[in-house]
Order: sequence, then C-alpha cells, then structure tokens
Amino acid sequence: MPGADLDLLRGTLDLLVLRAVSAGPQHGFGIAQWIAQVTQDDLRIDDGALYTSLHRLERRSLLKASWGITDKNRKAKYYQLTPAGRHALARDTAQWTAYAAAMFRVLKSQKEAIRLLERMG
Amino acid sequence: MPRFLEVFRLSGREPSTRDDVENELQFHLAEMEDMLMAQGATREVARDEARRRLGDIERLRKELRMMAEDTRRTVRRTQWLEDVGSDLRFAARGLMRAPGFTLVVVVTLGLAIGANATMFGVVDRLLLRPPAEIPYAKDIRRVTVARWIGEKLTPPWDAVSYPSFKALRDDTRSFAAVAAVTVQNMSSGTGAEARPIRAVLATGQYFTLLGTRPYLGRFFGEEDDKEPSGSPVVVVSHTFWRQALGARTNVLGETVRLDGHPYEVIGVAPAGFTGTDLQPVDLWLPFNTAGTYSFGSDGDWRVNQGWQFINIHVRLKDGVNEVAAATDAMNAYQAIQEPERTYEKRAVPVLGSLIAARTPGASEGSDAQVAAWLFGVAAIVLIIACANVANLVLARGVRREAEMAVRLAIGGSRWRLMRMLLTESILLAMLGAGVGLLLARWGGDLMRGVLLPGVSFESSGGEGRVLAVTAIATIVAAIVASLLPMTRAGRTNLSGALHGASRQVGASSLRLRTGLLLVQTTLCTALLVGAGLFVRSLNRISGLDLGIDTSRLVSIRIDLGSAGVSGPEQQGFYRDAAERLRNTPGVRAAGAMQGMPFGSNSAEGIKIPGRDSIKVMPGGGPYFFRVGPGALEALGVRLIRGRLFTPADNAGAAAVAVISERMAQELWPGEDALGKCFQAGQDDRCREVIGVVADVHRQELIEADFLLYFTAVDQQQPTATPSNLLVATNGPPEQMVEPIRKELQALRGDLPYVNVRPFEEIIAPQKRSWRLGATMFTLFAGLSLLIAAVGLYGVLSYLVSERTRELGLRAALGATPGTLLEMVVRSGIASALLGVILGLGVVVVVAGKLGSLLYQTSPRDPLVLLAAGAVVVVVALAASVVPGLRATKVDPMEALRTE
Repeated sequence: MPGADLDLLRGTLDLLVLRAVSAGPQHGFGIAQWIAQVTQDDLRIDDGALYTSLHRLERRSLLKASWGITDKNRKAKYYQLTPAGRHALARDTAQWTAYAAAMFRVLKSQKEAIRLLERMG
Repeated sequence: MPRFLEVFRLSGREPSTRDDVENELQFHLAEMEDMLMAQGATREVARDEARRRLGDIERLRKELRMMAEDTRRTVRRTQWLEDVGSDLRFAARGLMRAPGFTLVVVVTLGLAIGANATMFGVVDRLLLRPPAEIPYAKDIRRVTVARWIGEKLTPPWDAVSYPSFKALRDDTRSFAAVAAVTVQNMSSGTGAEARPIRAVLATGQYFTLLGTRPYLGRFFGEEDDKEPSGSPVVVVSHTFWRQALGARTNVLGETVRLDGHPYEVIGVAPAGFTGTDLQPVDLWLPFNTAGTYSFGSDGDWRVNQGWQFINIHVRLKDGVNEVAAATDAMNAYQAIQEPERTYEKRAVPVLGSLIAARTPGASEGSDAQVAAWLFGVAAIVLIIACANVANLVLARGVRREAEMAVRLAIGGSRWRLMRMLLTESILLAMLGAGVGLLLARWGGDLMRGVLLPGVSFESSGGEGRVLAVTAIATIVAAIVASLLPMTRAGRTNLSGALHGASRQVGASSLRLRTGLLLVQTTLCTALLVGAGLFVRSLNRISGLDLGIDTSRLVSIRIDLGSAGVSGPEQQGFYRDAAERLRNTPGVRAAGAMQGMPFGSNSAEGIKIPGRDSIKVMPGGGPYFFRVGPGALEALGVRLIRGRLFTPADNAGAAAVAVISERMAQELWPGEDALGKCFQAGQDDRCREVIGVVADVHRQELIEADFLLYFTAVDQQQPTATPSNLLVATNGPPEQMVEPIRKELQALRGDLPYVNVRPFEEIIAPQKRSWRLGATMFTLFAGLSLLIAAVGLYGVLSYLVSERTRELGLRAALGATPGTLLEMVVRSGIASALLGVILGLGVVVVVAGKLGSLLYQTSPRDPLVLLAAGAVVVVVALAASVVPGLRATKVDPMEALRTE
C-alpha cells in the first residue's frame, strides 16, 4: 500500500505495532512476522516503515525498549508497552473500530446516500 | 520467551545511539536472512532480499538515529527530574525530622531575604526605575540650571521662570517636546466638604512628551493650554477616579470644582501613573488655565523672570547628541535673560536623568543614597545569615557524620551526597524566600509608609524585578550556606566516622565554624557602628535650636486668594480667625503672618542711615516675615532683649521691627541694637528696633547665616495680607487639628480646604534621610546581632558537648563550676573581641564614604565605636552564659564512663 493514504497508514501502522507488543516484549523482526501472520499478508508493511514506527512510538514514550538475548543467542532490541502505550492502544482501538464501522455502514448503503444527496441538492 | 539480560547496562557505559541503531538493523537482517534461507533461498539471494525489504537503508539509519537521539534526551530529562524529585522528597523528610533546625534556618534566611527584597524595592523605585507608565522615559531629561555667582558655579537648581521655559520650548531644535510642570495644592468643595487636592499644572506638550496613553478619554494638549487662560479641562489620576469619582466609566464630561472654578473631566490617567515625580498626584490641569487663578490673572508670572517656580522636562529628538542638545538649551536660555540678571546671563542648563534621585539639584537624592547604603547593608545581613546557616548545617552535618559515612560505605557516591546537601540548602533557601517575600510585602508597606511617605510605590513592573533579585539572593544563600558543609561531605573520613571517633573531624569543623562566627561578629560590629552614626546624626539634627518651639505648634493655611476672596476681606478674616482661635480651649497663643519659617519667605534690601552698604551674608537675604498680633508668641521665639509687637504697634504708631540676634551682631557689633533703626525696601520710614530674638531658621534645618527681621503686618504700606495662621497649643498639637478646623469653618461657611498641620510634620521630610538611615540601620544591625548571637550560642554549645569528657575530667580533678563557666565564657568573649576589632578596622577604612550622609557626626566617632563594640561583647557574653552553665553541670562520672 504505497503512497496515497500515508496519514491513515501511519496511524494504522502505529496501532498495529502497539497491538503486536501488547502480548509481551517483542523485537522488530518478531513484530514484522506477527503482522504478516495475522493479516495473512493482506497488509504488506515495508520493514523500514516498521522500524520508523517503533522508534517514533518509543520517542512518544508509548513503548519502552531494552536489549536482550534471543533463543538463537543473538542480541536484540525488545519493545514493550508502557502504561501510556497500553492506554493509547485501548483508545485507538476504540476509535478505529468506531471509524471502521461508520465507514462500513456508509459504503454498504451507498445508494441510499446518493438518494439523500439528490433530495438535498 | 527470551531471557532478559541487561547486557550493555552492565558494562557501565551507555552505548552510542549509532551502535544501538546499527545493532538493531543487523539483528533484523540476520533473522530475515535465516528465514529466507529456511524457505530455500541461497545466502546471497537472502542477503540481497533482506536488504531490499528494508528499503533505503541509509536513509532509514539516519532517520532512526535522529529519533533515538531524541528519545535518549527525553529519557535523560525525565530521569533527572525524577532524581531531583526524590532528592527533594528526601530533603523534605530530613527537614521535617529536625523542626527546630528548619525553623531557625528558615526564619534566619527569611528575615535576611526579606530585608534584601524590601531594600531593593526602595532602591529600584528611587534610583533605578523611572516613574511608572512613561514610555519615552529613556529620552526624557530633567532640566536643572546652574548659575554663576561671582566666579563660582552654584549647584544646579530645578526651578526656572516661565519665560525661560518658553525659550527652551520655542527657540531650540534638539527636542521633540518640552514641557513645564508645577505642583499646586488646591481644594475641592467648601466648608466641611472641602478636600485637599494635589494638582500638577502641566503645559501643553507634557503628555506627548511622556508618551503615556490615557486609561479613559484623552489627555490635554497644546490646544487646551493656549495663553492667556487655556481651556477648563482636567485629567484625573486613576486613584482619584476610583476614590472621588466612584470609578464610573461615564465620568467624561462631568465637572469638578477646584478652588471654586469648574473644570471638565476629559480623561483618566492609567493606574500607577504619577507623572514625572514619584509623589501621588490627584489631577493634572493645563498650566495657563489653572495658572490664571493660582498665580494671578494679570499674567505677571508669564513674563516675570524673577518668578522661578516651574520644573522643565525635555525629550531629545532621535539621534540628537546630549552635548549638542545641552548647548542648544544653553544658548536659548541665556539669550532671553534680562541683562541685569548677571547670574542668569551665564547660567548653564543641565540635562539630567528623569529619575529625580540621579539628577543633581532635584529632590530625593539623599533618600536614595541612604537607601542604596541600606541595600548594601541588607546584603551584609544576608551574608551573616548565610554564615549562620552554614554554621547550623555544619553542626547538623557533624551529627549526621555517621549517617553520611554509612551511605558512602554502602556505595553512595560523594557527588550524590553533595547533591543531597545542596538540595537541602536550596529547599531551605526557598522556604526562606517564601517567608522573606511575605515579610517584604507586609514589612515593606509598613516601612515605606512610615519612612518614605509621599513616594508612590503603587505601579506595575517593579514586582518582577524584586522577585528576580529575591531569586538571586535565594540561590546565593543556598550555595553559600551549603558550600562549606559540602566540602566537608566530600572529605568525610570513612573509617573514623564509622568507629565513632569524631574528635578529629570535629576539630577542623570547629575551626571552620569559629571562622564563620568571626565573619559574623565583624560585620555585626560594622553595622552597629553604622546604626550608631545615623542615630547620633538624627539626635543632633532633632536637637537643633530652630529659634522657635515646634513641639506645640500648628500651622494653618487656607488658599483664600485662589478662591477669589479680596485682599481686605482676607485681612479681616485673619484678624477674626486669630481672635477666635485665641479664645478656643487648648490654645495658648495664635496669630497670622505673611510667610512662615519652613514655609515661604521673602527677601528685601535694607538701608541704615549713614552707611553705604550692608554686609552680604552667605545665606543671602536680608529676609523678613510680616507678623500679626500674637504670631511671634505662637511661634515661641525667644526674646533676648527689648519686647515683641503689641496691638499698639498699628498703622498709626511709629514703624518698628524685631530683629534676629545674628542681625543685631552683624549690623551693630558691640553695640545695643535696641533703639537703632533701618529702612526696608522702598519704605522711607526708619524702623526702630524694639526687640532682639534668638535666630530663627528660615526654611531648612541646615542653612548658612543670614539676616532676618520681623515687622508688624498692620504697619505695612500698602497693607499686607497674611498667608498663614500659627497656633501654639497646650497639649499635643495632633489633637488640636480637628477642633481648629471646625472653629474656622464655623467662622466662615464657604472656606476652601483648611489645611491644619502640626509643625513637626512640615519639618519631618527634611529629617527623612537620617530617620530612614537610623531606623533601618538599627533594625538591620539588631537583626544581624540576633543572628550572630544564635551562631555563637550554637558553636559554644557544640564545643561544650564535644568537650564533655575533658570538662568532666577537669571537674573530677577539682575544677570548680566557676572555673568551668569562665573557661567557656572566655572563649566566647575572645572570639567576639576579635570580631569587634576586625569590625572596627573595617569601619575605619570604609566610614569615610558615609561622612556626607551624616550630620555633625564623625564617621569615626569614638563613642559610637566604643558603644558598638560593647554591645557585641555584651551580647556575646549573654550567648555564652547558657552553654557555660551547661559546662558546670557536667557529671564527672558520666563523662568518664563514655570513654
């Protein structure tokens, strides 16, 4: 999903990332894998954009990072939610759900909407 | 789940953000490669694909690095804030556990910081800040004029004539605006309703010169101040608007009656605005409008160069250089002076600061100087307070030495320890600053009201500066008070302290504390000397023989002339008024006179038949007062020879005069002046001297010698009109103010404001700078003495508790309680004496600079020096006795057992 809806995308990506680490600390690669899995590659996220998002969230104190060792004995940077991040996740999820529901309703009843507009015009 | 290990944190140093970002990306690439290879890609393909999926890797690196830097800064800041917060909590807990210590320190610092804030407020108002609400203050100059008398240039003086003002306004090119003002005491209403009004008469360019904007309506301009009689408009002050006009926004267009004349309200000045001087003003009137009523409708004041009664302000044009402007002013000024006024022909106008206290020849100079000294004194009080707090903190530190040692032993860093001490000091200083600001608010109002009446402190802008100075004083206090204890914290002897061997540590701490004490006593002594010098000056000035008895004297002034009462009618009124007052209970004597000592007076040349000239006196003159029956008795002049006037010395009788002792000695040395005669002014009659009285002061407490005589107002041709009534009371004059006013209002119903003042009140402003110095110096010296006494007490108490073993041993070996007491007290007195000697040394070096502010008191007055030293020693004695007595109560057994 390149280009067009960048703002929407950025907000969406941040929300996805928050959701990805909500179960527990995770490193960037793990998060990328998780997103690919749950979206079944419907949403293809650019790896670079993912890291930008992670750092942005860390800067906003929604995520906290620390270094750890993986099962394969590699050093990795693990991200986890801060209390503020947990709060943001809850809030944004609610907002997104409401937004999506509204959009869904509108798009489904497109014909009714056109009729409504004609009557007003 | 991965195992967590804080890998890098253990190394003790944070890795750079560059490494952080690099490691993170490398990890990602490695994992991705593994995954792709697991899906069957070759190593090379996997590597390329992994990189490709990251996009523009260089840009990403840069972006991530920048964000990581940002994050790190935020984290550090939060960390720091958290640390400070925990330090503060820790310090607060510690202070709450030692309430006595905290209270003493906070009060000590509070008093000292409060003193600084108060004095800075005064200095700022008098000396640093121009009067409020004047946008162009920087370019405005106050004009004073220095004149040549013979080959001597007189000090500049700020009063000039109206023609001179016009010359500066019309014949110069350097000024954007030129304006003149004069203060006029007026009256609104009549009878019991009459109120005094302090009005400023200002010429047309006054408000454009200042650049001030009105709060309501408009200011008057040149079109309102046209000669001969301008337009009847008035601008009222914000205070007057609130208090007399009920703060109504619809006052514009209403009429205010002043001295019986109607003026239309056209504007309200902004709050705090007092014009170019600091005294509060009720209202401003166009010069030519009010001048016509107040100075005479004949307009003589507009052309007469001898009538010098107005103050000039100029605003420099942009880019005009000061010297050129002064030259321009000088040429214009000199050009219009009449040739016979030789001293004016060569006069030099001086362009001084708008801040009156900085302008030579304007008022408030000595008050400001004294205030500046007092600000310095307040700073010294702060130093003493800091020394004391440092002392207390040290004492506490010694008690906490074990605690500190434990903290160090378990790995607390010395830096962290110092930071805790500093935090504690800052907290203490901040609490002190809070107390200080409260004190400055309450005490400051009180001080300014009592010692600097007539200076308007109500204005915006000053508070911020006072707060800033307070903040600086607070920070300095915190640092100074914690610096010495901090160096000790840095040197805490670990093993020694842990083993309870604080003797060695205590010794060096004691030296430090004794040193601090020495600083305190030294400065204290110096302040006490200053206080003594000012008190002595004030005593001398108050004890001056003024030639009149001011203690039971009341002066009454009614501006009948401005109210339009004719001359003969006024004379009748004063005669009746004096008569009525003489019959009022509580009045010993009453009389009317033209002019008044410390009021207005006149000079007139005299001739003695058979002599060519009269000796010129350094104080000028000869001066005269024309007195009605009873006036000299009311003044309380002391008759040395002959008699005073009687009602028989009237228009029909031979012309007579009463002269001053100085005049008798100067004109008829070695002879009896009684029966001699002189001619005054244009009067042909030779006035016979019928009495000689002790010298009477003319208008100032300190003045050069001059000749003075009194004539009877009834013998004046043409008839003279009195200007003042004087009443000698039996009781305190303050209590007679209202009865006298009522009597006069009963005599005539339509009187303007009857200004009745105890005479001491009239003289008080002249004593003000000495009173200010004496009161505040004494207050500050007392304060610092108290602080130093607490310090001495603390050190000696500590000494006694440290030496318990030694004292106990001595007691066991047979030392009497007397010996022990003496031992402690002697060490207290010894350190005080050393401080006294150093303090007196400081005074001897510095005192010369104070000389000009004193009156007939040497800055090295031995009595004052001795007294100051004695006070310090006595206080030291008092502070040593309690610890000394404690020393005598040391139980030998108890003391030895602790070993």
